[in-house]
Amino acid sequence: MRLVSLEVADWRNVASAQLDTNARFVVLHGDNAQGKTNLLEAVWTLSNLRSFRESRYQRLIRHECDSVQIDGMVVGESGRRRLRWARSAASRTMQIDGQNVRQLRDWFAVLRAVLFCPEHGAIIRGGPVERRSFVDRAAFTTRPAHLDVVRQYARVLRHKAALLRSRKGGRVQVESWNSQLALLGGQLAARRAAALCDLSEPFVEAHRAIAGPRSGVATLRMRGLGRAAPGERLDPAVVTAQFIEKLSTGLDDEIRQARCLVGPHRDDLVVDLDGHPARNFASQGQARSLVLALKLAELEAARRQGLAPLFLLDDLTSELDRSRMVRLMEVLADLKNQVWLTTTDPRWLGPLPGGDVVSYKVAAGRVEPLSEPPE
Amino acid sequence: MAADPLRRCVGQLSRLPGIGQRTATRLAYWLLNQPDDVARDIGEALSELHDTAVRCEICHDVAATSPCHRCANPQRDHRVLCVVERPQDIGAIERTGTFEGRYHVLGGALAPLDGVGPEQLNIRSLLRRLSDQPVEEVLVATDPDVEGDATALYLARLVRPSGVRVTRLAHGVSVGTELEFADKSSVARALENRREI
Ligand SMILES: Nc1ncnc2c1ncn2[C@@H]1O[C@H](COP(=O)(O)OP(=O)(O)OP(=O)(O)O)[C@@H](O)[C@H]1O
Ligand SMILES: [Mg+2]
Ligand SMILES: [Zn+2]
Repeated sequence: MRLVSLEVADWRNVASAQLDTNARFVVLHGDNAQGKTNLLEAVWTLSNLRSFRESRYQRLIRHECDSVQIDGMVVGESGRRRLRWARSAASRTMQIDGQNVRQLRDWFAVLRAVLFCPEHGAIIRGGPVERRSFVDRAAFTTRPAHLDVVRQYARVLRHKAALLRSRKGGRVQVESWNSQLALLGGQLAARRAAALCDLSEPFVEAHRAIAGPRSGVATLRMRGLGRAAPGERLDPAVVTAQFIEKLSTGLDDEIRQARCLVGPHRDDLVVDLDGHPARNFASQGQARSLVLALKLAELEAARRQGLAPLFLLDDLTSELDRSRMVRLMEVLADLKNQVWLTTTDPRWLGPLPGGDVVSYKVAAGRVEPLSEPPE
Repeated sequence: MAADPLRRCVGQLSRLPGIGQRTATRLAYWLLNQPDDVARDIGEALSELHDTAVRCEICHDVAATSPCHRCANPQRDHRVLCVVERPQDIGAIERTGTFEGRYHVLGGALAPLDGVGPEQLNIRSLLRRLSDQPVEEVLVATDPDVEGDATALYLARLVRPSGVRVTRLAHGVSVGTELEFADKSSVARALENRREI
């Protein structure tokens, strides 16, 4: 799929912009605080119906304005589709070719994206929350139905937590929520394990390609209730049975401590570098390369399912050294996906594959096409 | 000075859920253009609603009398009791024309996040019915969402020890759809394919 045009109105600091983006590479460059990330965020919001850095829609609307709108034309497996997303205090619009969307999966079938931004260093060096959401997102990228399982599991978990906190739920009530938690938890863990199977081998490859052959072997595994070795798939029924077991032994503790103590919401993705957890040992640049490898693995896993999400890279240049950067650009050149890049200094990107690049200069929320690829 | 009658009517109609100013205006003009007994009949029905509608003391359905006509009907099968969240859900099951048992309205579903526990629902009266009447099967027709499912599981845990079968409406009704809005054939299918829990 390719986003061949993008139009925004009163989005962040951009009053109005119209970008013709029918190219394999779309480069947005400009100084700090001009609106580069804002535009990438618009593409992401169009593909995910939410921002990656803001949950309150009010902040997405340009100051002193009442509503915001993003339009995009996608050319993909299902032909040309026009997407419109708009938000105001009074209304919320999601339209494909002028028709309101009834099922989110219809929307996600049109446009999908994978994002890399500087904050994603936290996937390697931060807490388990970031890593779990990476796995859930990767699972969603290839199988959007994963989102329903994640949401339902989270909802049951929140009900159970509220029940435990109220200290009014007897065992029978807690057990009723536990039965559901176990069913959904089994599915959640099995889906994550499946996602990990899809990611593992592409991850090793992508990491070698970016970091170079001498920089160690990086591997992935899950830890916790849904633990699985690389390449191992889990049977949801088996995980559910184990989970039920743990829930019943833990029941008294959970009631006493008024907290949910067991379940895949506490699982973690372990990224090892030569057998040592990268979380504790990776340098800044190593962490950056590992995150890029995770994202490239996500793209490759999607490709094997016949999908080609957009690849959005924000502020790439800040932390990779020259040789890693050159190798990354070679990897990007070999992809089939449309790639969006933001940078303060296009020279860092080096030469992009000729002919198939559009560049825009972003300054104070205004977007101007550059006819010449930036020198 | 009396308020403009049309404006007053629009104002009152627009208090209804899902009715905006535009729809309210359209409705008011439509009523104005009908023979005057249309508006009068509607007005009478509305003004009598609170005086005449009662909660059935047995099943908690909204009805003209208590016990309601279904609870008072000796033809209806005592052995199967269908548990629903809302009075409106009874209509969805009745429309299939295939269910001949009795009903019990819970008044919602378990939702600790919203402070709804068993005490907020008509569960005590349900248990009383089970001990007073020869019920053999409790068919739980709560919504197919996490709250409806948890409620079904909870009822199963409460009721099963007494030897009563507990069944759940099969998920022929798509997830997240309230029974009230599900189409007739999918409700009929869900009834037919109910499973024991
Ligand atoms: N709702 C809004 N209305 C107006 N301006 C906004 C709004 N939200 C964000 N901005 C402004 O947009 C500007 C540009 O933000 P953006 O993150 O896109 O910068 P950038 O070009 O990516 O810069 P950097 O290179 O520093 O990452 C910021 O100065 C911010 O104050
Ligand atoms: Mg930025
Ligand atoms: Zn009754």
